[in-house]
Amino acid sequence: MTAAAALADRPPRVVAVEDGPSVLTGQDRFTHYVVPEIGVMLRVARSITAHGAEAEDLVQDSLLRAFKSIDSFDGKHPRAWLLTIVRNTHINRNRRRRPTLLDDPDSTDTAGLADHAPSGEEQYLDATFDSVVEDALRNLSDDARRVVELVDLADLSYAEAAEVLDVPVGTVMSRLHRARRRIRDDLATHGITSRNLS
Amino acid sequence: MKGLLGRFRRPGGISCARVQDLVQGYLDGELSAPDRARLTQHLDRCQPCGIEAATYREIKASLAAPAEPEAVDRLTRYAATLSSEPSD
Repeated sequence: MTAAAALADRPPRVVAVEDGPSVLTGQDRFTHYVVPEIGVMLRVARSITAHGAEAEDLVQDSLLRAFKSIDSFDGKHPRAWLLTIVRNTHINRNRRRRPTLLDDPDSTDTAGLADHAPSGEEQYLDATFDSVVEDALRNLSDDARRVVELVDLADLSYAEAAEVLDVPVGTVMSRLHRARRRIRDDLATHGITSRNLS
Repeated sequence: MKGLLGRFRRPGGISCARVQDLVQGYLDGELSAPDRARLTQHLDRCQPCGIEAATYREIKASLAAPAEPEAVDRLTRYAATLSSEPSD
């Protein structure tokens, strides 16, 4: 079973654990595979949500979902498996929220929709290297952002990212490099080329 | 960045245009050893390409910045409550 297929939302199936202790309970597997990845999950959650608190909520929900489905995880590519859970959980959360957001423009539960969009001047003056990179990441296409998440946030190699996405390595490279050029161009628009040289 | 310099400068035996194609793979550790050596030599000697590489390096560093330790601690404690629940 390929990593990509294992990561899709399919009926669970149980396979042998490939590394670690030969027999692990579900709770042990959760501790072994999931807990070490919490930092990476939070980094990715931060990149796809608007607020730090929402990112933490998203990871909490994702951890619960991972705990419930840990027995169906085959032990391969835990990081990529968890990031798929984070993304799917985020999509489901937004799907549930959207009617509320449309009906209540004063709602503080913006879920990424900027109800306090800064003016052009505020954007320019308040832009820091990290904030511009963060905004640029959010504005990438889904395909491009996904590759950046896997390689830059989750530290997967090109080959690992290609397997997770079920695309050729060349596709990973071209999407990734274009995405970073886009981020670089956004920095240039804000007059930032480097932390040291801005 | 492509321009006259790209056509005539070849520090490290590689053109600036070729460096632009390879620099991101270089920063990701995905190049072969010979290509890595050529790029290192070029970046050491070519200021425009060096600045370009520095920008991409900083973009990667910004994206990979570690999550807030307090938030990670909270989530780790939450995970511990899940895994300490009695199993059915």
